[in-house]
Amino acid sequence: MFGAGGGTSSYEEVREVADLIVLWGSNAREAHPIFFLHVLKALKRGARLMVVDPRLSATARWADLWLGLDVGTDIALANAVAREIVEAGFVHEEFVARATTGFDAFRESVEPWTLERGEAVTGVPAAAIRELAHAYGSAAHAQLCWTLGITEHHNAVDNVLALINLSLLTGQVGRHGSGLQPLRGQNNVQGGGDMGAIPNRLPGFQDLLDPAVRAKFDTAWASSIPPHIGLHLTGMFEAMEHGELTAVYCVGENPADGEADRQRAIRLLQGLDHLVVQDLFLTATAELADVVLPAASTLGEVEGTVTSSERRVQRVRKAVDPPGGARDDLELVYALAGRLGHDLGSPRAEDVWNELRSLSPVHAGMSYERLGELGGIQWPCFDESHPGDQFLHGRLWDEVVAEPAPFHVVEHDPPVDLLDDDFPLRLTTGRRLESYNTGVQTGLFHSPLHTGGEAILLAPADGARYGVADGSRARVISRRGAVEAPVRFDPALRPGLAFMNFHFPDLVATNVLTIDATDPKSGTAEFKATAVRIEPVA
Amino acid sequence: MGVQRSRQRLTEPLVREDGALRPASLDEALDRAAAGFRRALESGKQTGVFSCSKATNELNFATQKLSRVVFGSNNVDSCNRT
Repeated sequence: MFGAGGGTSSYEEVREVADLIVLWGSNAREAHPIFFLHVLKALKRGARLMVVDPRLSATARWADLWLGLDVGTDIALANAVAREIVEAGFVHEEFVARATTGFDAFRESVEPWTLERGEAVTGVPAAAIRELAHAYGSAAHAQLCWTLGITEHHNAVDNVLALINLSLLTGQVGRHGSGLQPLRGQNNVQGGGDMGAIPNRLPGFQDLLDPAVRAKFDTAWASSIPPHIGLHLTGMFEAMEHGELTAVYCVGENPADGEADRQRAIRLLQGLDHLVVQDLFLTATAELADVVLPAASTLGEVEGTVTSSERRVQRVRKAVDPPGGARDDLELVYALAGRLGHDLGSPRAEDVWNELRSLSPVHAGMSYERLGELGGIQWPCFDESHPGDQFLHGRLWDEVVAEPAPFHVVEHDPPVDLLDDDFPLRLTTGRRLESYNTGVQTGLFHSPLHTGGEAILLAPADGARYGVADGSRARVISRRGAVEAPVRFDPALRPGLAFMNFHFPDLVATNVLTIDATDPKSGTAEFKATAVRIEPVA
Repeated sequence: MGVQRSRQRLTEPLVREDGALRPASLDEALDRAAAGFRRALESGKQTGVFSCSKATNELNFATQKLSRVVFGSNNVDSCNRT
């Protein structure tokens, strides 16, 4: 939306400068613990923390203010906050006039969202909405951070635009200390996108649809890149459903466990004509493959770089050889290309990186040597004398802004999997601190933090209502499937809201329940909002 | 000979034969891997590349390059949505 995808501020600004941090749909304490250390240091310095989350999460317990909204009401809340910012006179009028477009239409669209209406739709008390609005509007330096709590919804993109609107209203972006932070999950999901491993961008976040950009890559690669965007993961599964996509090369991903509607994912992967899986372990996906290639681990077995949420590219180094016949992923990818008649060049990590630098202006100045010397460099870094940009969008504070940032009118749109008498309970999912995703990386480690595997967490009142006792087993049923799980009561949950992790698919395959309704603009599935019912197991 | 579902690291390539996975040399595995993609490309069907963000920038650059240069496809995605 601003032209490049990445956190706009550095962690240093969060830690040392911000006086207000808003975590919206983020349980950073458990899901982004390193980032949360920076937040804690800010709090120690006197910064305030406000947390928007349906659950009183581990993060919310640190907050000065917790806004416990109903699942899928983020736009309603953001619009109510926006209206209050305008009403209370906190709009940064000069910034709005100079650096933005579309304010009038936006202002009109939030007019119905009074504090009272906000409370009625979101469940958050009007006084709390007012407090968030006033705090964000009056902060000297505010950081607005979000993650999957708002993006794992069918209207993910709109949820994010609603938050960006707030930063534009108040001028809390593009200057030192103020910014927007999408917190990323996997250690290098930022890097994956930056490297163009997505269907709509070429490396360096360059636009696939721009003929001049395509020509540059086609010249370098002697290729013919198709001039239209490709399918994202969800779209690829759709294409499998229609028999149009029949061959998959799966490197380091485990969709048989990690995708919403797991049974559908397995059926489609089994139906492929050809599946090649390259991974560290024989995952559930690898078990379905025609060919399995053993790979080396990013954690100490290879040379390379990764990119953090604050856009910092850092070196990772090889400390040990991979076991047995396992190989560096690069070697395997390049060898496969070779068997198909294409010489992609040298598979040596530094050579691959230097090729990337020659094609991506924002990485051009990041030699391995400089990355080592400086301990990492934030993009953009255009040449070897450039130190990298600490924060983004400073252009919005120029006297004349060449490309103003637009407000977007976004409408509240409740979750797709509707609650009714058969499925009256809202189930949301999330991560725990000591485990990660489908347990491929974390499942084998013994740890005092592993508190006995998967369970469905219920408000005590719901346990009573549905006749299940704390510690008993229950059947959890959605429109797509059912699982059995132990029940644990959690007083942090409001009645009507249940919670499960997804870290132990051997024990409880949570994604059997979830819906794969996706945001057509981003492809993200609505993992966060499933309708279920609970029944005791005899 | 079969392969048990294991919580141990993969140390050798595997190929499917008679419905089950068995160990193979890297040569055989790469040949089989390539043959399947050649079949897809010759039949005009679409390919997909799943690239993962546990891996390095270099690996993600390599997988998207393979998809675009070798498969002639923009169907590449990393784990950036979960």
